Amino acid sequence: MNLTYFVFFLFILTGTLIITYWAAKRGHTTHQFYTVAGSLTGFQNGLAIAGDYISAASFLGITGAIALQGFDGFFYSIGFLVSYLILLLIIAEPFRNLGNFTLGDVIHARFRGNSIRIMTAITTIIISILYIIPQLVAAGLLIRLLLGIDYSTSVFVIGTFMTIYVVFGGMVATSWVQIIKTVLLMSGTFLIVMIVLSRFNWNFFDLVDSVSRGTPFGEAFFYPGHLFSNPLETFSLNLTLILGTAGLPHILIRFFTVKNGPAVRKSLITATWVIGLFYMMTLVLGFGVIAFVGWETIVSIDHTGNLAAPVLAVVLGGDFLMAFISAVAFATILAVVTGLVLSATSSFSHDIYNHIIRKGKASEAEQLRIAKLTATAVGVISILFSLGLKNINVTFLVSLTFVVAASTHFPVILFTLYWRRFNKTGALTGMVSGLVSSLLLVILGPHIMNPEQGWILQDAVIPLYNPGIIAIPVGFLGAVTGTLLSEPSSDQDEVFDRVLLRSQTGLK
Amino acid sequence: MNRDMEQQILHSESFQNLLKQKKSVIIPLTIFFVSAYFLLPLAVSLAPQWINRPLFHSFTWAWGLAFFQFVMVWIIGMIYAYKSKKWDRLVQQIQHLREDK
Repeated sequence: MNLTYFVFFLFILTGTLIITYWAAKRGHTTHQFYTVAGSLTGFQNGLAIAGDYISAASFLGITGAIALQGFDGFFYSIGFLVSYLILLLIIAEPFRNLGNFTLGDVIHARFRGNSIRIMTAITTIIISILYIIPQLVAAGLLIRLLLGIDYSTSVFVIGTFMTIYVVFGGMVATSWVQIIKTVLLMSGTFLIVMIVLSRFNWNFFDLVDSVSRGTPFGEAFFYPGHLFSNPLETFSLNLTLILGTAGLPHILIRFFTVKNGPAVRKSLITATWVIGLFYMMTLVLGFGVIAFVGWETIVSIDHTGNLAAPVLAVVLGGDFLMAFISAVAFATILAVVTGLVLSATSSFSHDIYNHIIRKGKASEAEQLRIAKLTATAVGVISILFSLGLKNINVTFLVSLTFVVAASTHFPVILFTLYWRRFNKTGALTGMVSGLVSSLLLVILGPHIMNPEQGWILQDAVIPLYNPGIIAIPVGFLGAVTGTLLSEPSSDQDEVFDRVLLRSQTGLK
Repeated sequence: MNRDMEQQILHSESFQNLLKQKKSVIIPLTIFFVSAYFLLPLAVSLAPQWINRPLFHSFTWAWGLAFFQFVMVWIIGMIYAYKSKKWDRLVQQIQHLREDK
């Protein structure tokens, strides 16, 4: 085991545990546990949103994808970033004004009854756990590679820590882990960018020339088409990316951690700057990999390219920089999984336990106890799944998460906020059709059905890696059809007027 | 808030003005950024010879359009922040309206 790596990992774990201890002492109310009692500033929340959002897939995956595929690797970043305009302009402030703790609160502000709350909680828990698994698997592989600890122990350690943060520190610890992760990630990435550019006498175009010479693609490295040659696939991926973020529950619940709409706005504007600058820097990182590590070398080390950033770090700054960047990657994963555990937790303990089982009458102490138990259960379930899926490629779960979010949550949130005629039946049919179609399309698609390396060794029925182009319209269609085929509720106008007034002004 | 007061506020000039102003900013901006966003994948798929023309150094128009979207996100964010300050004042007026009733 390399002692430098171990010291850096220990530093991250100790630091985050201190935050959790401090958070645990701060307060014992559900408002504190779920939303920091709305006490974060817009700037702090913006950093936390970036920390919640930029996953290992972004930091390790996109750097590697740019190094291996050039322009096509950069494609993902654009969708990830532009999706924030959907949130900023259309969803975030009205969403904040309608809810308290969860997505279920927002939908329930318009549609009374248990069914819709249960459905929202189920989809939130599914999305959260589906997203935790690939992050935990990636973390396990990363720690195994760097520290030499076996995969199962690695997953167990990181899974235990994410659970501890949520159980003891709730949203307070989650937020500060995410804020610190963003600062570490941005400074680590910036440091490598500076080193790369300094080696080229601060001339970016010299770096670009070096890249042109360093890949088998030559100048074609800078052209699109290496990764996405199927137009339908390209369009589908882009559609999923731009709409998916607005349906991710762990991002949506972050809007409740600030006091009002203007603070939500500031959060998102901060997040777009941080995320945008980060993706710009990954471009230099990807080019740096070609220039200093070499295309063939990185492919021979790991054909997925996921180790490109740590390998670049070791070439540029030896073990010390490698240890720092690996610790940053570790913190990146920790921050994301912690946010996900919290979103699954609040959906069960607040929506299902407090509102459905206890009919909103659970005491503060009881709610907190259940929340902590739920967080533990979510942690254990996620760890068990991740241990079981050790030898299986689970990266497709990241894209599945975005497809489910875009087809299940986004149509319902949009219609809840803006469509007067929308009703409870439509909300339910929309969510069911979005969820079922996403899952079916993935099962029938090439991730699962693949004659060479699939779970089912057959040709895919639906030959799309990103089935958003079908699943998202199905989600919308389900919501519209369900609404139009059912009777409008007698109090439709009264309820919509109230929702409109509250969502647009924050007046209650 | 009771139904009468809700109706009064909903039909008030301030609230109607708020909705009108929001629509006049959000709808055109949304049409613009969604079109700009999908222009890139559509051009990459359907008009590669157009999008792969050189723009500067080794970078093509595809890169130009990609970088443009970063700038677009930041500028739209600033426009939205600027415009929404006016809306915050309208919301304050609406709050006063409720307090006066």
